[in-house]
Amino acid sequence: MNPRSSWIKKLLVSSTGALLLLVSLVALNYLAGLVPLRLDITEEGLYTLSDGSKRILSNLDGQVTIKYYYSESLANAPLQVKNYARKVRELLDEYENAAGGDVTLEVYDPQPDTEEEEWAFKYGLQRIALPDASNLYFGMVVLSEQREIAVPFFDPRREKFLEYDISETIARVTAKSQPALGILAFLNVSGGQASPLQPREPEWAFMGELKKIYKVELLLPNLTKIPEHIDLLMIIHPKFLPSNVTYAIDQFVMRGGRLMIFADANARTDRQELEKQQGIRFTYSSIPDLFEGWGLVFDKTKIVGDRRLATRVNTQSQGIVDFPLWVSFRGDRINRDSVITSQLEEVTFMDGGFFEPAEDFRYTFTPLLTSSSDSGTIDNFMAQMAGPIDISRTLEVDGKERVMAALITGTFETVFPNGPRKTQQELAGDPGTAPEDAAGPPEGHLDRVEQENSIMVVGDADFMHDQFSVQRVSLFGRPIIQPINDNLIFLLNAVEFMSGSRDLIDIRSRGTFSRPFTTVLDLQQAAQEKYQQQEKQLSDQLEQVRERLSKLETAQGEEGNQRVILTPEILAEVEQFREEERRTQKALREVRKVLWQDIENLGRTLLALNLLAVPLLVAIIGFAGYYRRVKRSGGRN
Amino acid sequence: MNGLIPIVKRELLSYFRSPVAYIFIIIFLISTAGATWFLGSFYQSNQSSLDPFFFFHPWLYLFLIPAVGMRLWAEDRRSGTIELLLTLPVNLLTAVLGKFLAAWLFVGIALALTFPMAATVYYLGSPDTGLVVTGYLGSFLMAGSYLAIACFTSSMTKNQVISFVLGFFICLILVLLGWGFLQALLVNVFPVWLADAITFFSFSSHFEGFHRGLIDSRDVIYFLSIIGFMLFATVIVLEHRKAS
Repeated sequence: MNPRSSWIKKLLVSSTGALLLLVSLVALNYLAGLVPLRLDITEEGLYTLSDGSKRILSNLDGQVTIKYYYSESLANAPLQVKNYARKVRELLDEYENAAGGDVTLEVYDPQPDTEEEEWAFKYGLQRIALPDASNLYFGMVVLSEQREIAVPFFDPRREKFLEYDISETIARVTAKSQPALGILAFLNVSGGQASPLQPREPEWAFMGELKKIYKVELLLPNLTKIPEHIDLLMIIHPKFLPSNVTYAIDQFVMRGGRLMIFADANARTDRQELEKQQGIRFTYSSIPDLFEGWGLVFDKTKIVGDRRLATRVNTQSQGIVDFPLWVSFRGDRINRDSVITSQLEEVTFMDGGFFEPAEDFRYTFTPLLTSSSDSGTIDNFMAQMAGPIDISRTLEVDGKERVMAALITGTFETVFPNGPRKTQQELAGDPGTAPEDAAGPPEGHLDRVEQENSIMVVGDADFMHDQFSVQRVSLFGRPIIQPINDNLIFLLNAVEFMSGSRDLIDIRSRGTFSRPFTTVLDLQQAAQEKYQQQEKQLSDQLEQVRERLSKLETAQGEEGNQRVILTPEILAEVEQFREEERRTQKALREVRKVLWQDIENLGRTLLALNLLAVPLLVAIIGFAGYYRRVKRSGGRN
Repeated sequence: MNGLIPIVKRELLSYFRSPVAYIFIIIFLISTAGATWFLGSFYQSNQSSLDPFFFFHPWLYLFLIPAVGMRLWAEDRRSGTIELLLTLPVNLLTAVLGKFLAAWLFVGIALALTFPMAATVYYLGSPDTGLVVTGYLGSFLMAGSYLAIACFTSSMTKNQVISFVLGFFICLILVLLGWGFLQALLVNVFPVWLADAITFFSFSSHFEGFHRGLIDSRDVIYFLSIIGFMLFATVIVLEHRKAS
């Protein structure tokens, strides 16, 4: 052994050597922390800066400064916040790297009663009081030459949207001007009281989200012209639009304005109609003149029901039901090629209608959300009167797929070449005028658009209501909105696409809300169908029995001096009826039990396989080996 | 490093000559599957993800890995075969590494035999394959770290039970370091930077990245450096013994 290696050995064996090793362990990990390399192998690249963000960064003109505030030296910060702060910091580093000098990241750890804390406060960052009376700051402010925008608090529960939130803030800070968004709503989207009988409602969550990015302007339904500065017009639940408004909308499209129409076949959130206790409620909406003019067919009284995409709802009276009128689009029912919808997981429409291009349709029709072929329609009137189970039972599936949200693109021509058309009501008060606009187009009338334009049509308006899209929770006493499905994101994506800022679309809605057991879902579906069929059969049987009984009674009544006499024959029939009723009910119970049995059986089989199959195999191999060895050694002895 | 592969081969094969190995694998498989289905409510969760499966690995390894590692050197020390081993022409480091790699491979085989879990999620739905791959990779690396610790404790004593208990406690501390409560305690005793540095060495926080589909150089280096450190420490202990 050479003297050098023995010297090393001596050192190693000594306690100094052990200490040296420990120090090198810590040092190695410390150094590794300085140059983090991450390989992201999730299917959706969840942790890599997306192309949209990179495009926003490469299009920056002018310097952007990100001031990141996090109370790092605070001892008692919740572990969740500590971990998240590390991730936020890492992502911000990636922004700085990707921007190639256009973005400067400054990191602050605001101590109590310092100038830094004062600034954090001035920028509007959230000060969060911890149980030990210390204050935590965890937010950022982004500054450009034009303006400054703060993210007051990085909520760990918005981790999925972290990149979007950062990119969006940078895009907003550097935007030349905000797009102006006009909203013409016939639902109570801005909150308050819809009518004196209704309780106060908060502003719908989507409005708050839109206001973050756009100049939002609520338009009044009595307008005659869409204001010039409006870039994008959203029309929500258009009920009985007067002709001058319809004409104004048409002309808005002609001048290159972007249009989104959310019609509905049954708006459950139409508060004004809800309070009407009797009579027909007009819960549907449409703009027939425009739809017809563009060559679209939309029957406002026909609600789409879909057995395959039914949503599980908990009804007060009838328990848990898979309700076909609430259609949950997922998988290939969502257009994967459109930037608006490509990354959505699940969008749910409540009692929506559908669009079809008519024969004379001459633009491009791009479906965004489409029902499955297990769909049919139910009349608006029926939906208002019948309970969920009855609706589910009566829905007749016709194998047709129905488009419930679509994009129409083309060089549009005016629907009103002769100016505004008068409605029947308006005509009634003015009998002298011919039905078709004899006056000719007014001054400044436009006949066609100059450039290709897009119009979005959606067959539902309820989906944007808070009840069907978000959950309001409170974190550190501050209200926070959490999406319960992709409804809100669908709407925001759509507005973003329509208003032209397409870079952000690539970023939004990354991450997966859920990857359910599709096999189990299919089983459920099949069982439910079987159950419904059988239930219908059994109910029909019951109905027949009842009919027979009533016939018998009538016959008896006619013969027996208008009096119903309980002859032994009738008594026997009644007894038979009861017996049959009992049997039917029992059969129904059995069928319901079977509904869950298949799913439970699958679970049990899989559990058994996982728990026992391989261990048994290992045991057998072990025994076989042991037996062979024993035999061999036995033979030798 | 001459003779490394023969040692690994011989040690690995020797595992399968004893019934203990089979019993270990059976216990490993039943406890991972049982924890996933009963404690993790896998089937009820209705999510095609192996999260409830990997979630319990740091805790299950606490019992299982020191049990594999405890006999690595303690057995040799008890029976005296260690003297024979120390006089062999192979380098001590090679011997330590060989025994460790064989044990690690053995644990890897046990881990690979949990494949029905992966097959189940693919049968039931469509999981993110990235998450499945990194989950297994992270679990294997973490198992290596547990095993290196067990290897070290095994080299310190003749008694396998003592080796198991020691290994269990060192691993327990490293798991608990990622736990908020212990972290709060540390902060009260040490300055924040030191407390943070200590909690950095927790198993759970380094395993978490793999859970989410990320292969982070820091996590990989962490696990490998723990393995390296513990194996060196084993060599030192054995060398010390040889010298005395």
